[in-house]
Formats: sequence, structure tokens, C-alpha cells
Amino acid sequence: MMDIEVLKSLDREVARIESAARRLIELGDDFPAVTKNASRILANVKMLRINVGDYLAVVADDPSEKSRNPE
Amino acid sequence: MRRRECRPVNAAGSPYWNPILETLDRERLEALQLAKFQRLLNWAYERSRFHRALYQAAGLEPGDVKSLADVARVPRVEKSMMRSIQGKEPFPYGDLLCVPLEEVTAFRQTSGTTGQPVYQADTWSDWEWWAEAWCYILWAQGYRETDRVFLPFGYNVFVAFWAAHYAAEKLGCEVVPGGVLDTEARILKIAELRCTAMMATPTYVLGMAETARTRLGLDPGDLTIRRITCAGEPGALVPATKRRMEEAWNAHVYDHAGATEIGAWSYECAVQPGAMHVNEALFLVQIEDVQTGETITEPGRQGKMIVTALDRLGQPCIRFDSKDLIQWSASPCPCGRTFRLIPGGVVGRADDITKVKGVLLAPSAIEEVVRSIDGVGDEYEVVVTKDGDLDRITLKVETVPEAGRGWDEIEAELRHQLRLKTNLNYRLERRPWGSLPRYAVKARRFKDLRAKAGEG
Repeated sequence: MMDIEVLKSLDREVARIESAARRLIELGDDFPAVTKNASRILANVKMLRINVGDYLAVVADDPSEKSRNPE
Repeated sequence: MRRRECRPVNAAGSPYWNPILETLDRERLEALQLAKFQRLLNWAYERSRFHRALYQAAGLEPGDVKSLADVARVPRVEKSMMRSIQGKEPFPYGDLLCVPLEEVTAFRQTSGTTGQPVYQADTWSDWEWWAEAWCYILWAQGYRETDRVFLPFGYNVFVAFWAAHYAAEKLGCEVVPGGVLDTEARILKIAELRCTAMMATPTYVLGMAETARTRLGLDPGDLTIRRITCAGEPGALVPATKRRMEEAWNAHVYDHAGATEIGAWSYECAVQPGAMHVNEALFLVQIEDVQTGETITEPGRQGKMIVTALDRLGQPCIRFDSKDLIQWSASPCPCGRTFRLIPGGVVGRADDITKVKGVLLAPSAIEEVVRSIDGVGDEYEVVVTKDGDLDRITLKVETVPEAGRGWDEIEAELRHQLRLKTNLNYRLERRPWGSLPRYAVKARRFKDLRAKAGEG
């Protein structure tokens, strides 16, 4: 099993990418080459969420994980 | 049997596409499934008039689902319900759609095997998700960056291997689209490029092998294909059919199950345990008794699959009544995945099983017999007719030209095995080699003409 702290680091990086993509869409406004490509990035970000973030959300309240990995 | 050595699946890195989710303990896996199901139910309830009306009619609010056991209270969706609303606004998908039409980026439709095709809308995210589900499959079956993958299917409105194409690219494989080429040209392209893998229906895999031998004078086993992934028909987990394909191509043959409305929900791993894993990270599969609707949790009891695609949002698939017959395995898989196994994969369809002479008959049982007998060709046809008040069932087969056995011997074995496996006596017809239809996609070998005769 992969270390939970590694997963949390992965998830933080995914959040950064998502935030950056959303910012690009905002800033790109009337710049299709930016907004559409940034939107495609968000579709990939969702796959990262499915593979990492959703699992982390489930174990966030898991007492056994908390005791193993005290924050 | 000849078999070329495939590269070991875990030669480099993880044997799992997702080493966390594919090895998760059941408690956490079910917690994940429940959380995703609740999220999806809320999403559909808020955004789709179809889903909201369905749940309100059942007296159900999304918040009522507090456990996986509660999921059984959520109404099933049948294909006929989807057909009845398509063509309406938002055109052509109707009220199933949960996103604005401008977010739909891909149209596909079902093959229409069981009636009017159903339209399927996908967004960019949904299409990534389709490919993601296929990545689990291909990685488990040993596809890696070094593979050159040939896809011999018609790239059109049917989903077929479209998502497999993108998944193979995502893995870093080199993908060769064999779209509009004819069978001979496809085989020659495989030979020319030394492709290492391909994907097709079992019918077409066998048909290609026959074409290679009879029209091109090539032994398909001498080509460089090392692994084949099948879909569209159950043959790759019918032992006799799998063996025929593996021997013909000198390659490992793996099964996978998916559907346009559902996604790619199941896969055979490299261990080839005679079963498929259900991708329980992306799908919630429940088995229900065909007659009573009772949820079946124990292994070894067959029922129909009710499936939810947990992450598909544009046109969600929630408690879809697939009519596919499956059962849970009691055993874990030696591959280490905790995703449950379904022995034999999809073993039939609830709407496929028919009564002939008062006996329940699953057409796959006939295939198992035909493909297990030496000297009988890969193609066959079953025709059920009425002779007065009596059912008559005819099996048409071809014998291989260099069979090495006489028809009398083959016929006797066929008759005996059919009687044993299906409890029926057949009228057997030997047809000239090459005279029965050859299919490129899904074969339609079972023809029940009784209703038509009655209507006349």
C-alpha cells in the first residue's frame, strides 16, 4: 500500500493543476486556444481525482489512517 | 499448443494501473463506492428531469441512500426507458442528459442488437473516463509502451474499440487504426508493421485467422501478435473458443466486457483465471435474482447485473438493468487484485435464454460444444422453427477441409455433446466449407423463427 502522505502530496499537486487550469479559463476569456486547452486539462484532472483524490476523501475520516499518519 | 512468450506483465513497475484502488480492502472499497454513488445520485437528481421523476415516483430522495444495501431501493433503468425519451429535447438525448448540450463532445449509439439503438452522449471528461476504464484493462493484460496495437474495426457510430484506441495511446502504445481496410489488407498490415497486439470480437479474431490461411496462405501464428483483447461477445471466456483463438494466433487472448450505456466495466487479468474482474473502483455492480429482484451477494448464484458507472456524468448510468447474467466467484485472484471475479464472465443474457421443446436453452452452451469438437469449423448457425406444434432446432456447421475425421464420427460426437450440454436433440446439417455467413463484428448465429411463423 502506498504511503498516505505520498498520496496527499499527489492530491495537493492535482489541486494546483486544477486551480491553474481554472485560472487559465478565467484569464483566457476570449482566447479559445487557451480556454479550450485548459478545459481539456480539467478533463484529465478529473481522472487524477478518480485515481487518487476520491480515495483520499473516503479515508480522511478513517481512524486507523489518522493513528498511522498523525497530522 | 504453440505459444509465444509474452513479456512478463510486471517486468517493469507496477502490475496494476492503480496500485491503490485495485488492491483496496473490501471495507474501504465499499466506502468509496457508496460515497461515489451518493454523489452521482445527487448530481442526476438535481440535473436530469428523467432521473428526478423516476426517483420521486418511487418516493426516494437522494439522502435516503445511506448504505450500499439502500442502493437496491433506487429504481432500475431499462433500455426501453432510454429509448422512449431519446429524440426529444435536448435533442437527441432527451431528459437523461445532466449537462448542457454544448458540453457534449461525443456521440455514440448501441449496436441495436436488442432493438432500436440507444444514443449515448459523452463530455470530454466522460470520454477521458472511458479511456481510463480501458487503461485498467490493457495494463492488466500486459500492454505497455513497447506494443504496436492494431485495431481492425470500423471507426463509426458504435463505441466498439474507440475507447481502447485512446487508452492504448494513453499507455504509450503505438496505435495502428485498421478502419476501412478489408480483412486481407488488415492482416497484411499486421504482418508489414509487425504489430504485437490487436483487439476484436472473437468471431472476427477467428475469421481473420481463417482468411489468413485460406486467402493469403499465411499462418496467423507466424505473425507477431502476442496478445489479443476481445469484446462484444462472450467467446474469449468460452474455454473452447479461447483455445481456438490462442492456438490460431499463437498469442494470449483476454476477455473484457463493456457496453455503450455502461462503459468498460470488467476485464480478465494476465493470470487468466477463467474469470473477469469487475472494476469496482469505477463501477458498482450488483447481481439480482432474475425472477424476484432479490440482491444476490453469495458466490455461485447466477443473476442479472444491475450496474452503475460511478464517474460518468454527462448521461449517467445509474442502476442500469443490463440483462447480463453473471455470478460472483468465491475465490480471490492470484494476481492480487481485490476487485471481485465473475467466473466465465458474462455467461448469458436474461433476455437471451429461450425455451425450446420445453427446455431452457442458453445459446452460449451450443457455442461451447461446437468449438470444442475437432474438425468442426468456427462458424455455425442455429435455427429454431415450428413444425406443427413442435419446436424444431437445427444446427448448421461446416467441417474443416483437412479435418482428418469423417463426418459420421464428427456428427456422432456433436450429437452426443449437444445432448449432454443442452438436453436437446438437434437436426444437424453439414454445410460446404465457407458457405455459412462470416461476421466482422457481432455475430447473429441464433435465429428463432417461431414467432414469425406464428405471426404469418
